[in-house]
Amino acid sequence: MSKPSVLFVDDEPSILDGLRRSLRGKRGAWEMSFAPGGAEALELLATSPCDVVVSDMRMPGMDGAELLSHVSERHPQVGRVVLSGHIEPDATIRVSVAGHRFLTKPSATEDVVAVIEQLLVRTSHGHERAARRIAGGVRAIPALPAHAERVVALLGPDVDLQLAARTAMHDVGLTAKLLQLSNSRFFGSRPRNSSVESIAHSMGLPMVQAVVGAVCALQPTTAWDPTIERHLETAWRHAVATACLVEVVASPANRPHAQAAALLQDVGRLICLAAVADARGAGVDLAAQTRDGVPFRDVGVELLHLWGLHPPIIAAVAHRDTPQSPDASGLGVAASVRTAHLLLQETESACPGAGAHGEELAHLLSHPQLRAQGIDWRAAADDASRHAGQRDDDRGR
Amino acid sequence: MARILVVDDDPAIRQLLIDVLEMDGYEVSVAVDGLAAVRAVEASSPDFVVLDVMMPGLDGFGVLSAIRAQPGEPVPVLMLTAAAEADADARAWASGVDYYLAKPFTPDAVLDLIDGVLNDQAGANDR
Repeated sequence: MSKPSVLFVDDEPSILDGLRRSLRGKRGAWEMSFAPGGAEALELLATSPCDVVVSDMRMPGMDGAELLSHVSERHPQVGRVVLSGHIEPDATIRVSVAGHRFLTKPSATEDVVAVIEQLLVRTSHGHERAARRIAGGVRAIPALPAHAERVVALLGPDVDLQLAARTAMHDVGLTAKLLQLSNSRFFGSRPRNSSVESIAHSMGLPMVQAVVGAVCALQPTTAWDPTIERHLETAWRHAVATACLVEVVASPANRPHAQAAALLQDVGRLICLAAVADARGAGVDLAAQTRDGVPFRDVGVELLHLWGLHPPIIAAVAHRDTPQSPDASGLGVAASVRTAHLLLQETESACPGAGAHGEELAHLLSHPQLRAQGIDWRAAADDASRHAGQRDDDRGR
Repeated sequence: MARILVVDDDPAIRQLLIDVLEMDGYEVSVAVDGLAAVRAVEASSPDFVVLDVMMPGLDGFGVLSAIRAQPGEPVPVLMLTAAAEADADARAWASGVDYYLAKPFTPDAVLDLIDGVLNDQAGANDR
């Protein structure tokens, strides 16, 4: 098997020399190449493909954001890392959708290595390259047409941070983007933030609005296929209801990750279908839940991995459809999400597979963690479902 | 490396936990009673708390409600109880623990649980 290859791009020769020196230890593991600018990097990529590109942002001629957006279109399977010093506020919009990961310059060598190695990990077998090709090209996750207006409204002058945070918490694309950016100091978040609300608050309104602007700018402008749109609306409503319900199911410290995983549970379906929503679903098999033969879920997990979301979130999304039998020490994130999902599936009778997991659900609900809450879980599921329906009505208005 | 706060008034159990956790590379700090535990969580925001229930003065439940009332995101808490305490598990769950083990537990069980939670969270990125 050939070595994975990494391309570093920076206009300052001293930076490239520094990287070459500090990463000497990885020469046996990686094939490394170095380019002094965006144009040279694209030329190199055209002839010899690589696995990860690490690029500076501020460069004369083609800058890093432009380079990485070309890479996302021409070579979507390539992992994209931004390695940059200070970013001007007005560049935030372009930078926030350019990379999969973000590193500040200077970064400790071990941090650079860790991020590159994570991008070299294959999250699934068999379909791995196809899943990465679909997920890798995604720079922002679009809002469904019925919700786009509410997201755009966040750019208005009268918006406060509280409203922006609350809207983001119910929007798949903004939630995923804020969690992605929260790993980096660039965007003002602190490492201990794990809920979308606290991330938004530590970033501040101007930064959150810049991110909203970036997501809106990539929103598809063509009309969506009505069948696909309806299908995604149903999935979205289930995701919001699950996020509401899991707030009661999950323990306090697991709550932020469980809520994020619940909301993002069908992110793979959304990105697979959004990309083809105007093309009458080319390559998509709704019954088999695949695109180009790759399960939607694998594509979603690949995206969350590329974006560096916290492992408990990724694991809970990956295992939403895996039967769980947690031991007495606690439900954890994945079993909490699965419990909420099954409860709602039972409530939404129109949902396929309702009632099929009765035994598993009964077992989950008999867990001491849930029994001790003294809650009527089915009534709680009804409430959550109604609440999600109401939000939907609000949005449609 | 993740920082763990061990709260137990029993020196033998405390040492046992410190030994296995430090051997695994965790940075361990200790509180020998409930009040010290509440102060330690507030002052040093550990990544994980291992909390014994039975302590003189402020017990584990009291510690838990005090740290849950602190502002900021909740820290994961593993509560350890003696099997003899009736309904301890129901009380623990109802008061908002994240993980729970009844004595007698093996040090390995504690370690496995903490490894599972914290390594899962070690999403290395630009920290």
